[in-house]
Amino acid sequence: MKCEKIEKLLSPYLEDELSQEEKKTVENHLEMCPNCSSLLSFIKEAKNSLSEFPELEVSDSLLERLHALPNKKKKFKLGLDFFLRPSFQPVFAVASIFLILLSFYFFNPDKNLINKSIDRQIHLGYSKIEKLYTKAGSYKGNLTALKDNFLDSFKQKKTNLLGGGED
Amino acid sequence: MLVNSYSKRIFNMAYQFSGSYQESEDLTQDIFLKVYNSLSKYDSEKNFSAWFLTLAKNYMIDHYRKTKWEKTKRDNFNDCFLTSQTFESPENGVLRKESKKIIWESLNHLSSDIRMAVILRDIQGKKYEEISEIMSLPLGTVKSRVNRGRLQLAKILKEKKERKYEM
Repeated sequence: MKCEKIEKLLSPYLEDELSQEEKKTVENHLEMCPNCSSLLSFIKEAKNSLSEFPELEVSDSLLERLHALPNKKKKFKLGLDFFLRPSFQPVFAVASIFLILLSFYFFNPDKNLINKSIDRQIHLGYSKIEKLYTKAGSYKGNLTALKDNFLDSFKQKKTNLLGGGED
Repeated sequence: MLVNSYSKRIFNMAYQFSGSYQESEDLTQDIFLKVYNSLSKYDSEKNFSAWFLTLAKNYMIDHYRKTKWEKTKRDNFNDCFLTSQTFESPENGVLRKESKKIIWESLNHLSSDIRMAVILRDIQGKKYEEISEIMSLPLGTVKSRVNRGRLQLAKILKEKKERKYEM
């Protein structure tokens, strides 16, 4: 077997995870190949070195920061929760629809045309109101005339009746 | 409490993975914050420890991919471990210390997934089944990653040591 294939079997060989047949093949190869044999000893050395790295203690300042985290998290959540309350949902919905409509206006390439048509509509509306106002004025005049007419005729009838009574 | 039970484990995992003391303190804090925010998603029928470590592993690998730590150097081995009282036993000679230094500094040559598998297996001494659960990978894939990692580290160790003795 070639060295490349044996290399892959060296780690499982160390952990005794090979079948009897594979184990025999590796051992036979190691006897003949000084390169693979030295690689095996370096794998052992690497494995031992790794297992001897000590565990470090956590610094007091980090422990303090970690203990303070739940409060920090709570504060943050409160702020966010306030805006995520269901009662705000209709407000956000209306605001977003308004913004979408507004964006149609602001990003429309024919913005001037829209402005003109809005101006025209406002103008038309204004002149309609003016016409209505003059109409209302003429109705008012008519009503005053009608009222005067009615009062005159009423007064006349009253004097007629009173005059007739004296006779 | 969560901090007392897991801070040391997470901090050491982050330190072994990143090789930077400062970075691992920040990572530990970020991971705890993430855990507090994700506790509602935890399925109580599952193993809490494995869930916590999976979240930590995912966070570290994602963060590593975003920031590309491999470009930054790991902390000096002597500074971080020689001050630790658990480090030296009488039988550990200069050569073993040298190997450990090389292995520590070479860990960033391994890809993030392979490095994490090697850390969990050879530094933390976890069983393959546990690693498979934490990494959410099939047993065979975990074993193959650990083997590849060990082989890479052994080759670096061999090359560096042989070059040194040739000089």
